[in-house]
Amino acid sequence: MSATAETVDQVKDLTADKYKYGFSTEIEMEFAPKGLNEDIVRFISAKKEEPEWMLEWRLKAFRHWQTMEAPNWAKVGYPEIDYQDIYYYAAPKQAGDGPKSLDEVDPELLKTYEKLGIPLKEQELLAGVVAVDAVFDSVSVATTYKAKLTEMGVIFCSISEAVREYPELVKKYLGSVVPYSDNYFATLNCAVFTDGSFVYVPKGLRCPMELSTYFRINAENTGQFERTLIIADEGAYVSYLEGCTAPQRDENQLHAAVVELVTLDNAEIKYSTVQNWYPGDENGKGGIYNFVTKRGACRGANSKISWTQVETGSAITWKYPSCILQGDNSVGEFYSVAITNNAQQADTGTKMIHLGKNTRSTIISKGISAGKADNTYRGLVKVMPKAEGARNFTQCDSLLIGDRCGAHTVPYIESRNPSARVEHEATTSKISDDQLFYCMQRGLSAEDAVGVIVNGFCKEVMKNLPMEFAVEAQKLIGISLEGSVG
Amino acid sequence: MPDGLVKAIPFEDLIAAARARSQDGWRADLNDQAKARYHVAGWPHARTESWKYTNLNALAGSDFTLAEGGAATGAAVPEDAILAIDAPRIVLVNGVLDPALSNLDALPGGVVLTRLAEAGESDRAVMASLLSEESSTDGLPLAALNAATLSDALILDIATGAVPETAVHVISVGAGENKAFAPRLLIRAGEDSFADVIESHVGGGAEVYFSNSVTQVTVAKGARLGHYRLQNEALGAFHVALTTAEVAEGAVYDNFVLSLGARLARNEIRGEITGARVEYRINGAYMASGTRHLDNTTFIDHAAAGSRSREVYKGVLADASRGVFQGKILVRQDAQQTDGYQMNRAMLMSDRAEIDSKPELEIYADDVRCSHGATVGELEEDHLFYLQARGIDRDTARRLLVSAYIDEAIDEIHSEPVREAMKQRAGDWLAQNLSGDGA
Repeated sequence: MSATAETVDQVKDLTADKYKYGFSTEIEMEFAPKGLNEDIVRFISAKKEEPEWMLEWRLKAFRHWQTMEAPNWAKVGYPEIDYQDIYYYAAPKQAGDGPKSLDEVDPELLKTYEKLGIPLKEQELLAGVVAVDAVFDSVSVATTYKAKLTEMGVIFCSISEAVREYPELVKKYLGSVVPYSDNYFATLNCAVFTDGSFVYVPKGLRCPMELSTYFRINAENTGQFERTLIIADEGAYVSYLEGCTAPQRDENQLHAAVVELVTLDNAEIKYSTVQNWYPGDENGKGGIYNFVTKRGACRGANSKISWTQVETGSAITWKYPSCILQGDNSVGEFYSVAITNNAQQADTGTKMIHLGKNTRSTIISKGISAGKADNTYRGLVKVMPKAEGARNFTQCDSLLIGDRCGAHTVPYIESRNPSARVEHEATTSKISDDQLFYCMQRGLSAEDAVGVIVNGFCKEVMKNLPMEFAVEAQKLIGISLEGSVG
Repeated sequence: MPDGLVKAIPFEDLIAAARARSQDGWRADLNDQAKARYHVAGWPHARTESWKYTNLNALAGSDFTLAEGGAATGAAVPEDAILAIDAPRIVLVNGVLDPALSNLDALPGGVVLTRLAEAGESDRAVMASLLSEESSTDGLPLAALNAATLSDALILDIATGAVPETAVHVISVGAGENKAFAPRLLIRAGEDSFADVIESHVGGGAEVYFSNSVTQVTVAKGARLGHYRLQNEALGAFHVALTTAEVAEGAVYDNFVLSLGARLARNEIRGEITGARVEYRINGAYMASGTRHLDNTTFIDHAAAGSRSREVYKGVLADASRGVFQGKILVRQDAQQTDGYQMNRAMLMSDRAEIDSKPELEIYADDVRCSHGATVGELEEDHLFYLQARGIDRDTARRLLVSAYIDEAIDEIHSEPVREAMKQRAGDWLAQNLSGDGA
């Protein structure tokens, strides 16, 4: 059988593979009523025991959101979302004030994570490599290694806790990178965000371990709106890992998160994501709408923000992790692998806004499209007049598997400084029969050969992932494309 | 933009004047249909994606009157502005054929020019259908405005198998202050023909005018058409030009546009490849100074398998000028074995200049090879130093380097005399705009 014919067959087979993480946990939930209005915003704020200024901010965002229209410029199609048909608050019921240690966490919850492959207990034992702030639907249920981090001066807690415990920091930075009026989904998030992570790394400290959050959507019809804020003070360094998996659902679930990063002078944040939300079935039924706003501001000189993402899940991905390069000599990086299969749609990319002198940015994007999926890279590189000596290099490569999928590249380049250098390259190709033949001739099976080739295709991005993630990400790429090429 | 802010659609007065001028019924019908399309498409604003970087407010805010063309204007062809090519001329003054300035008798064998007014039934029907349906220009408001305010329409036929001994030079001269005109040219290259059509768009004295032209090209099986354009309009002019090209199996379409003039210019080329083994080439260069705004927008539709497209655009932007490049390649599901290449390079010569570049790929076939690239930068200091170290003064060195850079794009042109003529005009621009100010 020719490779192409085999490919077609195997793409069909692939749909038989049920989503590995498609289970749901029976836990008593506490819901706010469905729908969205000012009372719900007040309810969430009250539930979180937030101060008045936080509620005011939420309400301001909500009022602004009501005047906005959903964006339609991305190359994705989906039925209109009924925002009144979503639960905006769902928390696992707990006795008392929340767990003090893992022992107090609902065992059902822990079991769920075990199935996902991140047993907290085991991780706790793993010699302090990773601290996990696990988000189960809307509330942080456990924060490990907190004591150890606190000792060093690192604040790593849920955002709701930060609002209560560190209001000055939150007031100063929340909404300073992604303002409340930024875009439709970010504004919605401002109004109704329920939880997320907060990290502050003090001056001159290199955070000794990688911080990690697992997001988990569980309750049906629940939108999850996390808000993450990470601040690296002068000379600080932190690596943050974010992983997402969700159980199988037939109804689409909305996920509209906001992530804000701030680096001051000489600071660095490395933010890595492995996104594995439920992608829907072969006909595009179900799956997560992942409409996320991620943005980092390199405020200080010589600071650096690096985004690495491996996107294999979600029915629709709408995500543009960006860098605002304000400080002189600051550096922005974006490394992305986006895999779409079946009826998945991904419109993802980045924005690099060069404001400071000698700012540099690198964009490496690898899109892999199979089945009937559409995969779009959309990026903006903007050099403002004062960005003397700015430099950008962009490379976008697309790989098509099968003749019913699409790969699109939409870069915007705007330069207003003559000393700036901007380079963009993009290619589109398929796995050639020659490449396959070459590998198979050396004794690899077709599947292994594809694995080797696709891994080689993504290598530039994968090598930027922290070790803990690289293994999982490689497995995910394997699972996502298993049998889809041959 | 909220509805309240949308201004009334401009140029209703031009449409009304054109309608009054169209005496015979069928032409009036075409005007009316085009007017309706123009209203549906709406005037482009900042949120219209295809006009994102080119703001037409200055154009919409200007007052124009519908130009009367032809001999009445007494305009002459500005010889030092057009491409210096030894070829018979078809001269349009304000969008209307001026037989006195043209040498229609000298048109080479195999080339036939027909005016819409004098066209026979069948040609008239073809033109009427192009003007009324415009499937290739759907949703393009300025193309609809062209049909609604049509000045003149010409059909240039290259006979099947013809190999004319010379090229044909179509010269559009803008004359008369604040005039608007909208010529339309239909070029039909017959099967296995081999010809060059050259266009020069220039100003004949007047500063401000609005040239809104549409050129529709069909290249039949196995034909080879060279289609080269110089945009060297008066410096206060508005120039909006749309070219559509439909290229059939085994044909070669070699297009090049050099943009130098106008206050605001848009060169838009939309091509559809309908057969295999097509070689579709659209290349160009843009050189801007002052506050000029030069927009090059291209769309290549690979609708059939096994064809190649190639696109190289290079720009030089001096002073406070602005360059725009938007290039899109669409590869449809059936267009397997497509080979597409697209490159835009821009050089900023001043800290007030700006380039906005958007190369775009939309691909639905898997067995394709498509790549695009874009670069923005300035002259290499090392290169300047190298030449200066050899005793060449800085200004000359800059001109040499920019000239070499632009020549790379011009060298894509198949026809040698056209190449030379283009280089001459690019050289004129360099002499005028890149001397003295050092940097």
